[in-house]
Amino acid sequence: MVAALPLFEESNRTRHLVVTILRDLAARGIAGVLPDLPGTGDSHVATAATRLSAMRDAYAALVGQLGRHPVYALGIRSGALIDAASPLAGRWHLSPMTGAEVIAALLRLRAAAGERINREAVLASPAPVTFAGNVVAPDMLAELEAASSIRSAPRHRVVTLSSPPAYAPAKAGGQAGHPPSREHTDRSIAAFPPWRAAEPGHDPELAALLADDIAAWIARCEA
Amino acid sequence: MQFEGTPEIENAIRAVLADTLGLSRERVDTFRPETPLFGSLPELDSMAVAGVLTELEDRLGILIEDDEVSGEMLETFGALTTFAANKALT
Repeated sequence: MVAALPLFEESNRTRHLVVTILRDLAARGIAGVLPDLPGTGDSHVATAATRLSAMRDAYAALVGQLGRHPVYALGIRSGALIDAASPLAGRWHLSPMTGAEVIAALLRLRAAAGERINREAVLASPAPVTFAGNVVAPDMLAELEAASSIRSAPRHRVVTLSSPPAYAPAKAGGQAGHPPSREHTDRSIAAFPPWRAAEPGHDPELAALLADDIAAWIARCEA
Repeated sequence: MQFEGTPEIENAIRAVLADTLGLSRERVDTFRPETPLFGSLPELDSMAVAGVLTELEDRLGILIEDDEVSGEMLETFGALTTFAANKALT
């Protein structure tokens, strides 16, 4: 299984969860890889110089090298955007995002810092734009704006994680929260999403639950 | 302004602050309307603010526009509660 962390800040917030899932999978006989894609971790590419297309190409090259065994993708949040160009046996995505949702989250970071900027200005910018310390190149922003995870691929499982609603207002004609942006969800899990936490705690039970889901799904795919 | 349902909103905000900022339940239970948040709570930097607001949207079924995000709405626990209650209850 090849894992892809989310882009930007959420990668720090989810790394521990993903590493724990991969360890749990290893204990079930499923090998895992968590590559440093261009612009992340120990990659030689500067963070500000990376592109979604470069990350997709690097991911696909890695998948190509692992060809002896069936290779599955583990994509979390915006990491689900990265496996779109790869020949895979299947894809398991956790709360996947579209590229437009990634940009909306970046815009919110600017708003929270009191440096509001609108989407049109960001996409029209000829220079890199900084979002809470993340320097993002115009090409990367343009690629993200158009990006979505793969659609209508065979063996594509989507699991979502969200906190249960705390308050259900009985409003007439009320619009409740964000409309779901994804086409389908195979399983919804009610739990606090670690990518929302400034300093995520360790949640081995959540990791084990997700690893069980992945292992059972791969077993069905391979049957 | 106090709406029916405000205690539930207040409780949800306490839980969101505890979960997103890693604060203990005991600590968030001491928060009063006048308790200062943004600028006083070191855990609540701008990166954390985005997580708090998005999590509030999910739990309260509300939508917060980026141009509504300001230092004032986050200045105190009471200001945040009033903002969220206005969204969720009216």
